Amino acid sequence: MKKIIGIGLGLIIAFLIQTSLLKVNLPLLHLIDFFSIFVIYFALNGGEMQGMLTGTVSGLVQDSFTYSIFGISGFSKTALGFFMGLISSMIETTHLVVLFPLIFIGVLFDIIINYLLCFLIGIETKFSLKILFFQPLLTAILGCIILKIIYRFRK
Amino acid sequence: MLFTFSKRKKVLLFIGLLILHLVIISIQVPLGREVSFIFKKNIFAVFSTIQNFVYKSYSFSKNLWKNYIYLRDTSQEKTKLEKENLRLRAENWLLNMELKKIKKIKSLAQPNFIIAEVIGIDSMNIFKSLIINKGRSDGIRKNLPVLDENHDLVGKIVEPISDNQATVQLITDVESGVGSITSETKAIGVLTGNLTKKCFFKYIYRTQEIHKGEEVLTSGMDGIFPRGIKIGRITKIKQGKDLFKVIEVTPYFQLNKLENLLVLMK
Repeated sequence: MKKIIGIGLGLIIAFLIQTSLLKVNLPLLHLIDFFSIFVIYFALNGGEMQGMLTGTVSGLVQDSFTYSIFGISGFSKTALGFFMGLISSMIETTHLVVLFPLIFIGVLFDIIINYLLCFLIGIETKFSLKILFFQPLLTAILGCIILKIIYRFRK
Repeated sequence: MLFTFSKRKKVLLFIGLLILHLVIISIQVPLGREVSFIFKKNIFAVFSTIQNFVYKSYSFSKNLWKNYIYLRDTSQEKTKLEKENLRLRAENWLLNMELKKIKKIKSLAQPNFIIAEVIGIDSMNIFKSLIINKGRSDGIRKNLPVLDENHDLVGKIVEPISDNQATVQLITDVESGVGSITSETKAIGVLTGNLTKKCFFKYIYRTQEIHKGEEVLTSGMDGIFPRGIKIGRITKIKQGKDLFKVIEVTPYFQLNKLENLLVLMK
Protein backbone atom coordinates (compact mmCIF):
# COMPACT_ATOMS: atom_id res chain seq x y z
CA MET A 1 0.00 0.00 0.00
CA LYS A 2 2.84 2.33 0.99
CA LYS A 3 4.52 1.59 -2.32
CA ILE A 4 1.34 2.34 -4.32
CA ILE A 5 0.96 5.69 -2.54
CA GLY A 6 4.63 6.33 -3.31
CA ILE A 7 4.05 5.62 -7.01
CA GLY A 8 0.97 7.85 -7.05
CA LEU A 9 2.84 10.69 -5.37
CA GLY A 10 5.80 10.21 -7.68
CA LEU A 11 3.52 10.43 -10.69
CA ILE A 12 1.87 13.62 -9.43
CA ILE A 13 5.26 15.20 -8.71
CA ALA A 14 6.63 14.22 -12.15
CA PHE A 15 3.48 15.60 -13.77
CA LEU A 16 3.63 18.87 -11.86
CA ILE A 17 7.31 19.46 -12.55
CA GLN A 18 6.87 18.61 -16.23
CA THR A 19 3.92 20.95 -16.68
CA SER A 20 5.50 23.69 -14.55
CA LEU A 21 8.28 23.93 -17.13
CA LEU A 22 5.64 25.65 -19.23
CA LYS A 23 5.77 28.60 -16.86
CA VAL A 24 9.54 28.55 -16.45
CA ASN A 25 10.87 27.95 -19.93
CA LEU A 26 8.83 26.49 -22.74
CA PRO A 27 11.62 24.99 -24.88
CA LEU A 28 12.79 23.09 -21.78
CA LEU A 29 9.51 21.22 -21.87
CA HIS A 30 10.71 19.63 -25.07
CA LEU A 31 14.13 18.77 -23.74
CA ILE A 32 13.42 17.20 -20.36
CA ASP A 33 11.13 14.25 -19.73
CA PHE A 34 10.35 13.91 -16.03
CA PHE A 35 7.90 11.09 -16.77
CA SER A 36 10.80 8.99 -18.05
CA ILE A 37 12.81 9.69 -14.89
CA PHE A 38 9.77 8.61 -12.86
CA VAL A 39 9.33 5.37 -14.82
CA ILE A 40 13.06 4.56 -14.78
CA TYR A 41 13.31 5.14 -11.02
CA PHE A 42 10.41 2.81 -10.19
CA ALA A 43 11.56 0.23 -12.74
CA LEU A 44 15.13 0.16 -11.41
CA ASN A 45 13.88 -0.15 -7.84
CA GLY A 46 10.92 -2.43 -8.30
CA GLY A 47 11.62 -4.59 -11.32
CA GLU A 48 9.80 -5.26 -14.61
CA MET A 49 6.31 -5.49 -13.13
CA GLN A 50 6.45 -2.17 -11.31
CA GLY A 51 8.27 -0.61 -14.26
CA MET A 52 5.70 -1.54 -16.88
CA LEU A 53 2.72 -0.59 -14.73
CA THR A 54 4.15 2.83 -13.81
CA GLY A 55 5.07 3.18 -17.50
CA THR A 56 1.51 2.49 -18.60
CA VAL A 57 -0.01 4.91 -16.12
CA SER A 58 2.44 7.76 -16.71
CA GLY A 59 2.34 7.26 -20.48
CA LEU A 60 -1.43 7.51 -20.52
CA VAL A 61 -1.32 10.63 -18.32
CA GLN A 62 1.16 12.15 -20.77
CA ASP A 63 -1.08 11.14 -23.69
CA SER A 64 -4.16 12.73 -22.16
CA PHE A 65 -2.43 16.13 -22.33
CA THR A 66 -1.51 15.95 -25.99
CA TYR A 67 -3.59 16.57 -29.08
CA SER A 68 -2.35 13.33 -30.51
CA ILE A 69 -3.40 9.70 -30.62
CA PHE A 70 -4.09 8.44 -27.10
CA GLY A 71 -1.87 5.47 -26.20
CA ILE A 72 1.36 6.29 -28.02
CA SER A 73 3.29 7.40 -24.95
CA GLY A 74 1.51 4.69 -22.97
CA PHE A 75 3.01 2.09 -25.32
CA SER A 76 6.53 3.50 -25.30
CA LYS A 77 6.64 4.10 -21.54
CA THR A 78 5.36 0.57 -20.84
CA ALA A 79 8.19 -0.83 -22.93
CA LEU A 80 10.66 1.53 -21.23
CA GLY A 81 9.51 0.46 -17.76
CA PHE A 82 9.67 -3.25 -18.59
CA PHE A 83 13.16 -3.17 -20.11
CA MET A 84 14.57 -0.94 -17.38
CA GLY A 85 13.18 -3.35 -14.78
CA LEU A 86 14.72 -6.27 -16.64
CA ILE A 87 18.12 -4.58 -16.77
CA SER A 88 17.96 -3.75 -13.06
CA SER A 89 17.63 -7.44 -12.26
CA MET A 90 20.82 -8.18 -14.22
CA ILE A 91 23.21 -5.40 -13.21
CA GLU A 92 23.84 -3.00 -10.34
CA THR A 93 22.35 0.32 -11.44
CA THR A 94 23.03 2.71 -8.57
CA HIS A 95 26.49 3.78 -9.74
CA LEU A 96 26.64 6.89 -11.92
CA VAL A 97 28.74 5.16 -14.57
CA VAL A 98 25.84 2.77 -15.16
CA LEU A 99 22.96 5.08 -14.29
CA PHE A 100 23.79 7.87 -16.72
CA PRO A 101 24.04 5.77 -19.92
CA LEU A 102 21.05 3.74 -18.77
CA ILE A 103 18.80 6.80 -18.50
CA PHE A 104 20.24 8.23 -21.73
CA ILE A 105 19.53 5.04 -23.68
CA GLY A 106 16.13 4.63 -21.98
CA VAL A 107 14.93 8.11 -22.99
CA LEU A 108 16.34 7.67 -26.49
CA PHE A 109 14.50 4.37 -26.77
CA ASP A 110 11.25 6.07 -25.64
CA ILE A 111 11.61 8.83 -28.26
CA ILE A 112 12.43 6.37 -31.05
CA ILE A 113 9.41 4.18 -30.19
CA ASN A 114 7.24 7.32 -30.20
CA TYR A 115 8.55 8.40 -33.61
CA LEU A 116 8.17 4.89 -35.02
CA LEU A 117 4.58 4.57 -33.82
CA CYS A 118 3.70 8.01 -35.23
CA PHE A 119 5.32 7.02 -38.52
CA LEU A 120 3.44 3.71 -38.68
CA ILE A 121 0.11 5.34 -37.85
CA GLY A 122 0.72 8.14 -40.32
CA ILE A 123 0.90 11.07 -37.91
CA GLU A 124 3.18 13.73 -39.30
CA THR A 125 5.95 14.49 -36.79
CA LYS A 126 9.10 16.50 -37.27
CA PHE A 127 12.07 14.22 -36.77
CA SER A 128 14.43 16.40 -34.77
CA LEU A 129 18.04 15.41 -34.16
CA LYS A 130 18.17 18.13 -31.48
CA ILE A 131 15.49 16.35 -29.46
CA LEU A 132 16.99 12.96 -30.20
CA PHE A 133 20.26 14.03 -28.59
CA PHE A 134 19.45 16.76 -26.07
CA GLN A 135 16.34 15.24 -24.48
CA PRO A 136 18.18 12.03 -23.46
CA LEU A 137 21.23 14.04 -22.41
CA LEU A 138 19.44 16.61 -20.24
CA THR A 139 17.03 14.02 -18.83
CA ALA A 140 19.96 11.74 -17.99
CA ILE A 141 21.83 14.55 -16.20
CA LEU A 142 18.74 15.56 -14.22
CA GLY A 143 17.72 11.95 -13.65
CA CYS A 144 21.13 11.11 -12.18
CA ILE A 145 20.95 14.09 -9.82
CA ILE A 146 17.38 13.28 -8.70
CA LEU A 147 18.01 9.56 -8.27
CA LYS A 148 21.24 10.15 -6.37
CA ILE A 149 19.44 12.54 -4.00
CA ILE A 150 16.66 9.98 -3.44
CA TYR A 151 19.18 7.19 -2.79
CA ARG A 152 21.01 9.38 -0.29
CA PHE A 153 17.77 10.18 1.57
CA ARG A 154 16.78 6.53 1.61
CA LYS A 155 20.07 5.63 3.29
CA MET B 1 9.28 -5.93 -4.43
CA LEU B 2 5.68 -4.77 -4.87
CA PHE B 3 4.58 -7.35 -7.41
CA THR B 4 5.80 -10.93 -7.28
CA PHE B 5 5.07 -12.83 -10.47
CA SER B 6 6.95 -15.49 -12.36
CA LYS B 7 9.12 -14.38 -15.29
CA ARG B 8 6.69 -15.95 -17.77
CA LYS B 9 3.69 -14.15 -16.29
CA LYS B 10 5.56 -10.85 -16.38
CA VAL B 11 6.36 -11.28 -20.06
CA LEU B 12 2.76 -12.24 -20.79
CA LEU B 13 1.45 -9.20 -18.94
CA PHE B 14 3.95 -7.00 -20.76
CA ILE B 15 2.77 -8.31 -24.14
CA GLY B 16 -0.84 -7.91 -22.99
CA LEU B 17 -0.27 -4.27 -22.04
CA LEU B 18 1.41 -3.52 -25.36
CA ILE B 19 -1.50 -5.14 -27.22
CA LEU B 20 -3.95 -3.11 -25.13
CA HIS B 21 -2.19 0.11 -26.15
CA LEU B 22 -2.17 -0.97 -29.78
CA VAL B 23 -5.90 -1.69 -29.60
CA ILE B 24 -6.55 1.77 -28.08
CA ILE B 25 -4.43 3.36 -30.82
CA SER B 26 -6.02 1.36 -33.64
CA ILE B 27 -9.54 2.31 -32.50
CA GLN B 28 -8.69 5.99 -32.87
CA VAL B 29 -6.73 5.89 -36.14
CA PRO B 30 -9.59 5.21 -38.58
CA LEU B 31 -12.00 7.47 -36.70
CA GLY B 32 -9.62 10.41 -36.37
CA ARG B 33 -8.42 12.16 -33.23
CA GLU B 34 -11.59 14.21 -33.00
CA VAL B 35 -13.05 11.13 -31.36
CA SER B 36 -13.05 11.78 -27.65
CA PHE B 37 -11.80 8.86 -25.67
CA ILE B 38 -13.70 8.67 -22.40
CA PHE B 39 -10.62 7.24 -20.69
CA LYS B 40 -8.48 10.12 -21.91
CA LYS B 41 -11.07 12.64 -20.74
CA ASN B 42 -11.21 11.11 -17.26
CA ILE B 43 -7.43 11.04 -16.82
CA PHE B 44 -7.27 14.60 -18.11
CA ALA B 45 -10.03 15.75 -15.75
CA VAL B 46 -8.20 14.38 -12.70
CA PHE B 47 -4.77 15.72 -13.61
CA SER B 48 -5.91 19.05 -14.97
CA THR B 49 -7.63 19.71 -11.64
CA ILE B 50 -4.32 19.14 -9.85
CA GLN B 51 -2.54 21.28 -12.41
CA ASN B 52 -5.10 24.06 -12.14
CA PHE B 53 -4.83 24.05 -8.37
CA VAL B 54 -1.04 24.35 -8.53
CA TYR B 55 -1.17 27.13 -11.12
CA LYS B 56 -3.71 29.04 -9.04
CA SER B 57 -1.57 28.64 -5.92
CA TYR B 58 1.48 29.79 -7.91
CA SER B 59 -0.38 32.85 -9.26
CA PHE B 60 -1.80 33.63 -5.83
CA SER B 61 1.59 33.58 -4.10
CA LYS B 62 3.17 35.52 -6.96
CA ASN B 63 0.45 38.17 -6.77
CA LEU B 64 0.61 38.31 -3.00
CA TRP B 65 4.33 38.99 -3.13
CA LYS B 66 4.00 41.47 -5.97
CA ASN B 67 1.15 43.32 -4.28
CA TYR B 68 2.96 43.45 -0.97
CA ILE B 69 6.08 44.92 -2.57
CA TYR B 70 4.13 47.56 -4.47
CA LEU B 71 1.55 48.20 -1.80
CA ARG B 72 3.03 51.59 -0.98
CA ASP B 73 2.29 52.92 -4.45
CA THR B 74 -1.12 51.29 -4.85
CA SER B 75 -3.20 54.28 -3.76
CA GLN B 76 -1.37 56.71 -6.04
CA GLU B 77 -1.48 54.19 -8.86
CA LYS B 78 -5.24 53.72 -8.36
CA THR B 79 -5.94 57.45 -8.60
CA LYS B 80 -3.79 57.69 -11.70
CA LEU B 81 -5.51 54.72 -13.34
CA GLU B 82 -8.97 56.04 -12.49
CA LYS B 83 -8.16 59.28 -14.25
CA GLU B 84 -6.70 57.41 -17.19
CA ASN B 85 -9.76 55.16 -17.35
CA LEU B 86 -12.09 58.18 -17.33
CA ARG B 87 -10.09 59.82 -20.11
CA LEU B 88 -10.12 56.67 -22.23
CA ARG B 89 -13.84 56.14 -21.71
CA ALA B 90 -14.57 59.68 -22.77
CA GLU B 91 -12.28 59.32 -25.75
CA ASN B 92 -13.94 56.06 -26.69
CA TRP B 93 -17.40 57.62 -26.42
CA LEU B 94 -16.41 60.55 -28.61
CA LEU B 95 -14.83 58.27 -31.19
CA ASN B 96 -17.94 56.08 -31.24
CA MET B 97 -20.08 59.15 -31.83
CA GLU B 98 -17.80 60.25 -34.67
CA LEU B 99 -17.84 56.80 -36.19
CA LYS B 100 -21.62 56.66 -36.05
CA LYS B 101 -21.80 59.95 -37.86
CA ILE B 102 -19.26 58.94 -40.51
CA LYS B 103 -20.45 55.43 -41.24
CA LYS B 104 -24.07 56.10 -40.37
CA ILE B 105 -24.36 52.96 -38.33
CA LYS B 106 -26.70 52.83 -35.40
CA SER B 107 -24.65 50.75 -32.99
CA LEU B 108 -21.18 49.38 -32.85
CA ALA B 109 -20.61 45.71 -32.21
CA GLN B 110 -18.76 45.26 -28.96
CA PRO B 111 -15.75 42.98 -29.12
CA ASN B 112 -16.59 39.77 -27.35
CA PHE B 113 -13.69 37.72 -26.06
CA ILE B 114 -12.52 35.60 -23.17
CA ILE B 115 -9.07 35.81 -21.64
CA ALA B 116 -7.56 32.37 -21.10
CA GLU B 117 -4.32 31.17 -19.62
CA VAL B 118 -2.06 28.52 -21.15
CA ILE B 119 -1.90 25.53 -18.79
CA GLY B 120 -0.47 22.78 -20.94
CA ILE B 121 1.31 22.00 -24.15
CA ASP B 122 1.80 18.98 -26.38
CA SER B 123 5.05 17.59 -25.05
CA MET B 124 5.56 15.49 -28.18
CA ASN B 125 5.58 18.59 -30.35
CA ILE B 126 5.33 22.08 -28.93
CA PHE B 127 4.24 23.50 -32.28
CA LYS B 128 1.11 21.35 -32.42
CA SER B 129 -1.32 22.29 -29.68
CA LEU B 130 -1.75 23.74 -26.24
CA ILE B 131 -4.30 23.63 -23.46
CA ILE B 132 -6.05 26.63 -21.97
CA ASN B 133 -7.87 27.02 -18.66
CA LYS B 134 -11.26 27.88 -20.20
CA GLY B 135 -13.76 25.29 -21.31
CA ARG B 136 -17.39 24.48 -21.94
CA SER B 137 -18.67 26.37 -18.89
CA ASP B 138 -17.09 29.57 -20.26
CA GLY B 139 -18.88 29.14 -23.58
CA ILE B 140 -15.83 27.77 -25.40
CA ARG B 141 -16.79 25.90 -28.56
CA LYS B 142 -15.02 24.21 -31.42
CA ASN B 143 -13.42 26.46 -34.07
CA LEU B 144 -13.29 29.69 -32.05
CA PRO B 145 -10.23 31.78 -33.07
CA VAL B 146 -7.46 32.25 -30.50
CA LEU B 147 -5.17 35.30 -30.46
CA ASP B 148 -2.17 36.32 -28.39
CA GLU B 149 -1.88 39.49 -26.29
CA ASN B 150 -0.87 41.52 -29.38
CA HIS B 151 -3.98 40.29 -31.24
CA ASP B 152 -1.94 38.08 -33.59
CA LEU B 153 -3.39 34.75 -34.62
CA VAL B 154 -2.32 31.75 -32.54
CA GLY B 155 -4.80 29.07 -33.60
CA LYS B 156 -8.31 27.81 -33.02
CA ILE B 157 -10.17 25.75 -30.46
CA VAL B 158 -10.35 22.14 -31.54
CA GLU B 159 -12.05 20.64 -28.58
CA PRO B 160 -13.34 21.83 -25.21
CA ILE B 161 -12.05 18.87 -23.17
CA SER B 162 -13.90 19.68 -20.00
CA ASP B 163 -15.85 22.49 -18.35
CA ASN B 164 -12.61 24.33 -17.57
CA GLN B 165 -10.15 23.27 -20.26
CA ALA B 166 -9.91 23.31 -24.02
CA THR B 167 -7.35 22.34 -26.63
CA VAL B 168 -6.05 24.96 -29.06
CA GLN B 169 -4.64 23.83 -32.39
CA LEU B 170 -1.73 26.11 -33.27
CA ILE B 171 -1.38 27.54 -36.78
CA THR B 172 2.05 25.86 -36.85
CA ASP B 173 0.40 22.42 -36.73
CA VAL B 174 0.71 20.52 -39.97
CA GLU B 175 -3.04 19.82 -39.99
CA SER B 176 -4.00 23.46 -39.48
CA GLY B 177 -5.42 25.47 -42.40
CA VAL B 178 -6.16 29.19 -42.29
CA GLY B 179 -7.72 31.12 -45.15
CA SER B 180 -5.22 33.94 -45.69
CA ILE B 181 -4.54 37.02 -47.77
CA THR B 182 -1.42 39.14 -48.25
CA SER B 183 -1.60 42.81 -47.27
CA GLU B 184 -0.19 44.41 -50.46
CA THR B 185 -0.62 42.08 -53.43
CA LYS B 186 -3.90 40.65 -52.05
CA ALA B 187 -2.91 37.09 -52.96
CA ILE B 188 -5.34 34.58 -51.49
CA GLY B 189 -4.21 31.19 -50.22
CA VAL B 190 -4.18 28.79 -47.30
CA LEU B 191 -1.70 29.01 -44.44
CA THR B 192 -0.56 25.69 -42.99
CA GLY B 193 2.07 24.75 -40.45
CA ASN B 194 4.88 22.22 -40.60
CA LEU B 195 5.49 21.62 -36.87
CA THR B 196 8.30 24.16 -36.71
CA LYS B 197 8.42 27.92 -36.02
CA LYS B 198 7.50 28.56 -39.68
CA CYS B 199 4.27 28.26 -41.66
CA PHE B 200 3.64 27.89 -45.39
CA PHE B 201 1.35 30.02 -47.52
CA LYS B 202 -0.01 27.56 -50.07
CA TYR B 203 -1.78 27.58 -53.44
CA ILE B 204 -0.20 30.75 -54.84
CA TYR B 205 0.43 30.30 -58.57
CA ARG B 206 4.00 30.69 -59.84
CA THR B 207 2.86 33.55 -62.04
CA GLN B 208 1.15 35.45 -59.24
CA GLU B 209 2.89 38.53 -57.86
CA ILE B 210 3.83 38.34 -54.19
CA HIS B 211 6.61 40.04 -52.22
CA LYS B 212 8.99 39.01 -49.48
CA GLY B 213 8.27 40.96 -46.28
CA GLU B 214 4.55 41.27 -46.98
CA GLU B 215 2.20 40.81 -44.08
CA VAL B 216 -0.20 37.84 -44.10
CA LEU B 217 -3.68 38.33 -42.67
CA THR B 218 -6.73 36.11 -42.30
CA SER B 219 -8.99 36.32 -45.35
CA GLY B 220 -12.19 35.31 -43.57
CA MET B 221 -12.97 32.90 -46.39
CA ASP B 222 -12.68 29.77 -44.28
CA GLY B 223 -15.67 30.79 -42.16
CA ILE B 224 -13.65 30.27 -38.97
CA PHE B 225 -11.30 33.22 -38.62
CA PRO B 226 -12.66 36.77 -39.07
CA ARG B 227 -11.02 38.79 -41.84
CA GLY B 228 -8.01 40.98 -41.03
CA ILE B 229 -6.33 39.23 -38.10
CA LYS B 230 -2.57 39.53 -38.40
CA ILE B 231 -0.77 36.20 -38.81
CA GLY B 232 2.82 36.88 -39.78
CA ARG B 233 5.25 38.02 -42.45
CA ILE B 234 6.55 36.35 -45.61
CA THR B 235 10.21 35.47 -45.05
CA LYS B 236 11.05 33.30 -48.05
CA ILE B 237 9.67 32.78 -51.57
CA LYS B 238 10.80 29.98 -53.87
CA GLN B 239 9.51 28.70 -57.21
CA GLY B 240 7.94 25.30 -56.51
CA LYS B 241 8.27 22.17 -58.63
CA ASP B 242 4.55 22.15 -59.40
CA LEU B 243 2.13 24.96 -60.28
CA PHE B 244 2.61 26.83 -57.05
CA LYS B 245 5.21 28.89 -55.26
CA VAL B 246 6.73 27.77 -51.96
CA ILE B 247 6.16 30.65 -49.54
CA GLU B 248 7.47 30.59 -46.00
CA VAL B 249 5.72 32.72 -43.39
CA THR B 250 7.08 33.52 -39.93
CA PRO B 251 4.14 33.85 -37.55
CA TYR B 252 4.04 36.85 -35.22
CA PHE B 253 3.10 34.88 -32.13
CA GLN B 254 5.97 33.60 -30.04
CA LEU B 255 5.38 30.33 -28.32
CA ASN B 256 7.73 31.03 -25.42
CA LYS B 257 5.93 34.29 -24.65
CA LEU B 258 2.39 32.93 -24.67
CA GLU B 259 0.79 33.30 -21.29
CA ASN B 260 -2.61 34.89 -21.72
CA LEU B 261 -4.65 34.26 -24.84
CA LEU B 262 -7.79 35.84 -26.22
CA VAL B 263 -10.54 33.53 -27.42
CA LEU B 264 -12.81 35.37 -29.83
CA MET B 265 -16.43 34.48 -29.19
CA LYS B 266 -18.73 34.61 -32.18
